[in-house]
Amino acid sequence: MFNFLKGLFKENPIFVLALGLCPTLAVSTQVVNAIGMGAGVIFVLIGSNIMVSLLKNFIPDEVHIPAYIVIIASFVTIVDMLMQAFVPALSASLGVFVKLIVVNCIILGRAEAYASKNSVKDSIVDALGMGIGFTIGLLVISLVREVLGSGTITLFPMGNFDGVIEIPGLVDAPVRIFSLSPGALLAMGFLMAGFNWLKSKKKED
Amino acid sequence: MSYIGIIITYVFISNMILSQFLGLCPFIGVSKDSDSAVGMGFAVTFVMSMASLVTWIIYHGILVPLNLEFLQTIAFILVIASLVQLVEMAVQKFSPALYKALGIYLPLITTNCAVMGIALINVREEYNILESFTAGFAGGIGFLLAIFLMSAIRVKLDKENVPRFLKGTPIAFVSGGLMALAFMAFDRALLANLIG
Amino acid sequence: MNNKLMQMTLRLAIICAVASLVLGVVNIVTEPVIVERKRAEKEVALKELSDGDHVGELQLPANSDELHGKLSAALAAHGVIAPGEDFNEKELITSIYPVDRNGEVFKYILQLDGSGYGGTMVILAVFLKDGTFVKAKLMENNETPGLGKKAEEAAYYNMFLNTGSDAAPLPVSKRALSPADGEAVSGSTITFNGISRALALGSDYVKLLGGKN
Repeated sequence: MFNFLKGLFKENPIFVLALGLCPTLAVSTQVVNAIGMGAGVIFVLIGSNIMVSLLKNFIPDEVHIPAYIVIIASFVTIVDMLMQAFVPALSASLGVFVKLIVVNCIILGRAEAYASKNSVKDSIVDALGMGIGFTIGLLVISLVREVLGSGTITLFPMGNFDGVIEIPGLVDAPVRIFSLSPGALLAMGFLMAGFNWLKSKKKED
Repeated sequence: MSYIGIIITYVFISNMILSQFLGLCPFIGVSKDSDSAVGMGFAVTFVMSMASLVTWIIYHGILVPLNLEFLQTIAFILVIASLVQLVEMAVQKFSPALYKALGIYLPLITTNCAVMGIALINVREEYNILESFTAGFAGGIGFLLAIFLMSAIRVKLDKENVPRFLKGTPIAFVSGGLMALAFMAFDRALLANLIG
Repeated sequence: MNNKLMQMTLRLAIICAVASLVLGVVNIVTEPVIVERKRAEKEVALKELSDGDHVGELQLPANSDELHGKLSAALAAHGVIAPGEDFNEKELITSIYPVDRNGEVFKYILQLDGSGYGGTMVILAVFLKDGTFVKAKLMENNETPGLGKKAEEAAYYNMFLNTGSDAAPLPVSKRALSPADGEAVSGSTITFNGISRALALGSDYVKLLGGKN
């Protein structure tokens, strides 16, 4: 249980470890992208952690990095193909960043640091914790950027609901800069500072 | 697009780091002093140029004729990983001094999004082999420029009185954001006015 | 030593082979779905754009120097390209669909590639045979949400309505727009330029086709 929770807050991959940043900032213009990206990363993370843990005695030590990379790239390609086939809109808005999950440091990092040394069950728990922690970080950033930058919250269309929540006031006069690249970096900096503040407050308690 | 156009685009307008967020990890991680930032920048430039060339050949020479485009991700990442390994061995053998300067950064380049990113962008933009190489090289120079500027800012920031919670990485992001804001002046409209 | 190297290589090769095999299987499953979805998506878009009229077979731009020369002259005259600038209509116009009523072609749907802020944009546009713009739909694109992405809305194309014929040229710069329309596209000039240039090219190309099937 502790293993699961540490990924969410104490070792949050985005705000604390500062890993996997490229996709974080690039796809965080809309909340729906963050959810899709998060789901993709969780899938790849669980898949690669399971395989690495299963094969830990089969993979020779000297070439473990290329072997891990092949495993990760396979899962990334599967995610990419499934997204193109079944959620094309998401695939289009994530663009090359689906393929770039392969160089997301979180995944190789977890394979190397955790799955190669632990049991399959523990590796799945670790993958879930880290993956959900990553998704939460992504969600927070995309929420800030979309609400401020476009005045909307874009979710999945369901029935009569077209998937877009408009925020009165902001939608007519949004702070455009937040949906552009500088806004991403600024939002990230201030969110990290906020995270530091939260952590220090928790320590004092 | 002309070659000058490609260079201006990837150095300034679509700067790898500041506008596409590719290669952000080393941008924050290795920008604490200028020497290592410049070293990293040159290493990335070299690997990006070479990777653009090699992945182009692999993609258009092997994957497309065999209808194996779905192996793109796996092929590219393996090419990049072996390329980085090769560069590391070559540098170690022929220029120990350079190896000493770059050594520790070389393995990190495998997981640098910018290298994989430019390979995928080359495919998406349907560049020919020379255009791909130019884009890779220019992307690397753009990376070098951004990381060098960042390191210069961070050296100054160390001496400043930064609020406690913003110290370190957060203020680096905020500075990066302001830099990106400045880079927004480099617009595609500028390119259109420059070279038509 | 040699034995160890062999074993290492073998194991790595096995992993690669299994990975490729798995990917191949997934590809066999997903590829038809992707192809079918793209076809269905385009069919729906064509149906919507043709307003129920019959859409003819797909054509490609003709390989003709004469046509190219006339097109260059028209585009230069409309300020879409600089005089003497070269372009390749076969790369920019990727498909042509004649639309006919009772066997007579009266409109064309063109698939055009425009260059936007986030790279290439695919535009499906309808023109009457005299080049008048009717409507358009932005397909694949990587424009910025809230800025360039506005071009995905049908209302975006109202500023081009009733232009494109010889009497009323299509606006290819922000200055040619009404102040209200100019205000609406500010902040996404690159997207506007890409779309308007693609449309102007389509319009001039359609004029040269002259209603031929």
